[in-house]
Amino acid sequence: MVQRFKRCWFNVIRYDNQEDTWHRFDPDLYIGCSGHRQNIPINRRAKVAIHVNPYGPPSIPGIDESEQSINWVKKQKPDAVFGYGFDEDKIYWKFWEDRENIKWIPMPTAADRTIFSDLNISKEYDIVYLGGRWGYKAKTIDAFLLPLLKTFKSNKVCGWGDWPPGVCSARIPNDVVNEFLNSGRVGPCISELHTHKNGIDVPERVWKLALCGVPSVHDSVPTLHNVYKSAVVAKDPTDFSNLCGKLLSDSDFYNQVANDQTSEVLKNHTYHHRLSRLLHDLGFVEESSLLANS
Amino acid sequence: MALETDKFVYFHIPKTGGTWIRNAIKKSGIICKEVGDTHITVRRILHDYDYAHILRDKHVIVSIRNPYSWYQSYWSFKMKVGWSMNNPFDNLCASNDFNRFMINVYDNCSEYYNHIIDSFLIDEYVNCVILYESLVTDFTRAMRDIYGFDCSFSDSRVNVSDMSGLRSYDMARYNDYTYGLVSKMNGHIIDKYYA
Repeated sequence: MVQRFKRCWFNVIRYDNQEDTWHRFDPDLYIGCSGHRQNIPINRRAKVAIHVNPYGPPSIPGIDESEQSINWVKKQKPDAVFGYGFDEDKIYWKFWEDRENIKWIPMPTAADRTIFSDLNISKEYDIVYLGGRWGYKAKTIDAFLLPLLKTFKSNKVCGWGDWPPGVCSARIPNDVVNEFLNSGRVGPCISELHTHKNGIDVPERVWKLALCGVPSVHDSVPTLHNVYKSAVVAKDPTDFSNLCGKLLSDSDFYNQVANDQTSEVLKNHTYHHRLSRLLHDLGFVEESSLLANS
Repeated sequence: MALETDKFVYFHIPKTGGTWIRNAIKKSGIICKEVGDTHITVRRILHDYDYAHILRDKHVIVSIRNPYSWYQSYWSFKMKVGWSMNNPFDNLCASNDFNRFMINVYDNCSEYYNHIIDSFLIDEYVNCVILYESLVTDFTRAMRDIYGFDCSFSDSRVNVSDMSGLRSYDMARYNDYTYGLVSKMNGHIIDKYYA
């Protein structure tokens, strides 16, 4: 977000609970997060949007916003809240509007055009994957990714967390992530169990890979096609492996998917689009246009 | 599973009040046994089991639901338990927006509910159709017709897709366009059972 705003000549500073900083800067917009609670001045000119977790009639245990966080968000009197879902996922945040009378704005993950691009370099590996592994995430990684890595030996995994021995090379610095993703021919995308079931919290990976020109295969998220027509989504781990294999062996399919995914992400799923929507829904119509057209 | 008693076999179409019927049968003390998978169809039981003669000898009961509320209930249930890509219908139609879900159904699986109904309501065997909308009344009448005595059943339905006190009807609201899609897809069911 910060990168994107700055590229469009917005002035951006990081606020860390210092009211003096706030009043000297006098922002038009403050973006906060319920997971990083810092009280903000109630008497202010700025509009306020806070990232929140789901709070809706369908309950997602372990993912829903806590009562404590809901109360904290309400005290900040935000103009809107936003969460990692698309328009069609609104039901999972519905109570923010229905019970708390706070507008919800969809803010799914996206790709950052200022970082990710197709470098047109040689693709050293059949499969590349970058990400963490921990208890909850391991459930889907172990089901989908690890069998895939056994099938396709030309692979490289970089990341952090609790990976089985010999699978993950190392954590890599942020400034080489684009180059790393560009080094693969196919990018498997793993999400978490609640994403499979509920469709929210789609990780950024699927969008980043598209900008790198690397076709992706996503694990089982049945709602993904509604918002990303070019997505290649697997029914189960076997299908996941088969689809990766098909991409690697069928050059026509490979090129078609790569082109379609890149075009669609550039058209609909960059942070330009997300921030443009956020600004528009907060009433910053001119600034929204500026972002959309930049 | 279909539920078989000495005098009837009940087939359970998902989201048609079947869990309530099962509980009612079991609470009434009628001795019963389960046959096949939870939602085994009449067509399937005839194919997989040697059941043609049993279905001819006994009353065969199937509960159905108005397509308009069946889609609402199905979607609300999925909002509660989540979508599954292993379910071909979910795979093609999943959406967390009800009206988008209905468009996906129309575009990709318009015959799905018709197919379900056709798989259960085989005229040659089924002689008692219970409507979800009048579930208790229809079931009570069916039991009286079959056993010749009255049982009283309360309408405390279970397995409904309630979410924080909201019923599926509140959660899943048709717009004008998607409401029209239901009659296009399932008009003949509506005409036959709900005219």
